[in-house]
Amino acid sequence: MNPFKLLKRGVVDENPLFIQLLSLCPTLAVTTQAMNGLGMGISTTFVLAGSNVVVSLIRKFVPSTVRIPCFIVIIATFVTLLEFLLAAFLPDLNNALGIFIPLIVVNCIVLARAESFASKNSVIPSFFDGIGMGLGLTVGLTLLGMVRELLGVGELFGITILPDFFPRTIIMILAPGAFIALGFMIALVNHMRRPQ
Amino acid sequence: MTELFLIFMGAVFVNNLILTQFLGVCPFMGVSRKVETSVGMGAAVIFVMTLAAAASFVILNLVLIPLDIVYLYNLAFIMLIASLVQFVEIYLKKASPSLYQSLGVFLPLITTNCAILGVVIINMDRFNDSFISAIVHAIGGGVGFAIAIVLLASIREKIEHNNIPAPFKGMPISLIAAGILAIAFMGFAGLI
Amino acid sequence: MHMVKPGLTLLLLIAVTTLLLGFVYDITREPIRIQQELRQQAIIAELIHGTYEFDEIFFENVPNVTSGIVGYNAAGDRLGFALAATAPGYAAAVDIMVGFNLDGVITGVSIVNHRETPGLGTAIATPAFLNQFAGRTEAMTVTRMPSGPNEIAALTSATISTDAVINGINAALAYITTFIEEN
Repeated sequence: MNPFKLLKRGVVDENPLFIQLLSLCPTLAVTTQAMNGLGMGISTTFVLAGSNVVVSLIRKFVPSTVRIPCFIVIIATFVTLLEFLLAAFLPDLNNALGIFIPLIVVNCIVLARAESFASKNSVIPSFFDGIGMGLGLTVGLTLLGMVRELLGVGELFGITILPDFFPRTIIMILAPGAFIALGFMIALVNHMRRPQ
Repeated sequence: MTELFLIFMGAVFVNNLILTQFLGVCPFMGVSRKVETSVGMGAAVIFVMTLAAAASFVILNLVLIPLDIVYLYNLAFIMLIASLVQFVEIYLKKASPSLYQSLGVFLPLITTNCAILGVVIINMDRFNDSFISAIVHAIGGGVGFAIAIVLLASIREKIEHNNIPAPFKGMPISLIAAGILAIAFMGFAGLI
Repeated sequence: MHMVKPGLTLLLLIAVTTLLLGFVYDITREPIRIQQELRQQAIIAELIHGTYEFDEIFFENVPNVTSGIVGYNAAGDRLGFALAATAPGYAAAVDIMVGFNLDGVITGVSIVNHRETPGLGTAIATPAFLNQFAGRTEAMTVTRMPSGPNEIAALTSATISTDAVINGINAALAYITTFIEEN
């Protein structure tokens, strides 16, 4: 499969968030601001690409009975590496994303790609599959973050956009707003995808 | 004693795992179609969560901290949870095949349930002072999860035969229902 | 016996990854420490204006207060003090630093470290919240509807986070007079 096709599949055709409906927990939690959504997306892409590559590299040596634990070990390793890197070089993002960084290890999309793609394909396609899915997730997270931040506090990436007279629906950056905003966005995607 | 009660009530209502902290949303959405399966899932989560809290407390305080390898907590905890779920699965297969069948693919999915790992990590950060507070927090978290999932299942069963616009059928309307449920739970803020 | 080869493979993988992580941990330990030091210096400079250098004294037995800072300018004159306090927050402990002038009046509060919920508890790190503490000398309480001068409004859906900051500040206020006397 050529790289471009893999990327497109991850972002559009099989978008992890809007189509596959995976990785809901971090999505709802960190999209209070567009920047956090973007940061989480890039972090997850790092883990996705990394674990896909390693799983693909060792796929011929891993016995089938222990493959899931092996994948989990590899994913946990990349997440721990990510934790070190963020703590060392991006501490503010680290604090903003909080507990959801270590929770990337149980992000369904990472294990799903390792199991359904990386364990059956060679390294380069696996890398692009990881990047593609990660990019799709990042797009979803950033969009949701933008919607919530804009409606909730009238800002985008920290810059005030909405004029003062426009009411701010604070609930959008609170827990219920996450559920409701995502519900509407998926409904929108469903509507756009309906058979003509 | 009051402190333990407060930890429990806090975990169930004020900081409900799903509706306030967004931990465990995937199985929340996936299993809450029928009240029956939700009760089973809730019970399984309470059980696994409590065991995971107990085991992780031991591993953290007897292995990770003394050996100064706390930075390996992610690896250690996830392996612990994966093994625990494996054992629960084997046990359920023998003890209650019908429950095993109805939970289907969601039982192994408890491993990737962020709620379990989430509670274990929160215990490490906030409730590591005593074994009993870690356990109580885990039981409370599980109970809160169970209550939320059963509530949402009841709602979904009721609206199943309503006239829902096509784009909203399935996940979107469930998310919006969960959002309204979350608004209700916001009423508990400030309870303790 | 058929579990031996898979079991060994898994064990080998865990061994390799643990070694790798230990190695990277060692490498990143120093940059992480430097980051934290730089951060602390920036916070102190903000709380005690014009600080050129500072002394840090660590405490053992003061409740919730971990260390005290005396800030000096380039000429060696004292400029002010800061106390590092900590209180349990929602997700983990919230570490704060409270700046004081030479008379023990609060100049400002900075959040050093927190892991509070994004969007909710993270509001404690905003200037809108932190600016209300300058000029205070008395202990405060957190309420939903503040009426008295020493009552602070709890942040929406973040009562525990607000409590953490106020408890930390109160602990610092309780100790500042002793700290000034001893130094």
